[in-house]
Amino acid sequence: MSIDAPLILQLQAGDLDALGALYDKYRPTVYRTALAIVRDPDVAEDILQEVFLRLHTYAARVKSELPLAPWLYRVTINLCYTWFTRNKWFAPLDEFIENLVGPMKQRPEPAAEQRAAQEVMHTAINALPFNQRVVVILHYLNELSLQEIAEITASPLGTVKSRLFYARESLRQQLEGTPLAQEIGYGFTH
Amino acid sequence: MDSRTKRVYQNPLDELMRQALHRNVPGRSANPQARRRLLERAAVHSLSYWLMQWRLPGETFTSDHSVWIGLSWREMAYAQAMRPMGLFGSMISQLR
Repeated sequence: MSIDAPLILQLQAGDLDALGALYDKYRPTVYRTALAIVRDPDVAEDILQEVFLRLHTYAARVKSELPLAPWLYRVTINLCYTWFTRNKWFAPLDEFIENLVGPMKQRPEPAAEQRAAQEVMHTAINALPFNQRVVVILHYLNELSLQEIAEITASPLGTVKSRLFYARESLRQQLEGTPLAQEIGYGFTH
Repeated sequence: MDSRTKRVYQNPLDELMRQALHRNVPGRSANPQARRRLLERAAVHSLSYWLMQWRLPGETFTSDHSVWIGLSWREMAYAQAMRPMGLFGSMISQLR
């Protein structure tokens, strides 16, 4: 039995309080994941609603003996993907380059430099292809293992590893020519 | 899944990716009404299935749901009568 089994069983019986309790528990994770992928707070809010509405609608199909988190992640990613295919949006190249180079031009103080480095990295992550971005977000933001990500995305483990590898290579290449490149080096921990 | 201890990476690239995501993605949604809206929408959803008598496993409509939507007992009685198996609903199907 999973830790959420009692709530899932109550939800299957039509108890809305159980839905509220599950929402309270998993809202930050679902919202944060959606926001990291779609980058729009309003869209992330809509996706958050839709995920839990689907949990309510398809409660009978949710297996109470399994953890609920992977199911929620899967629905979140599927909804984000649907949104992306309908609203293809790419950051204008100029804006992206300005975000990448701008903070470096100003030569900030060391404390601010670290923050600027994070901004540059975040912009670079946002520019990754959808599948690579999802793996990066689930791994580095939600701190899921590659095996867990493989199960959530219904992809072979090798595919997940490959996506992470190419994402890291892409990020490293995008940061070349900036002071960050020297700090990053060429280590690989996975 | 939120209870994991924060991972710290040895590799600067990994650590920078982690920091960049944790710093730039806020964890809380700004809409305080979202929870209430969700439960209202779920209740309306259950009501629509109940009215149409579509069979979906687990879909039930209870008085708890009607409270969320704000239906009075008169409206509930009217809705009950208008269902396909209700008083008026069955008369309409007979006429057809």
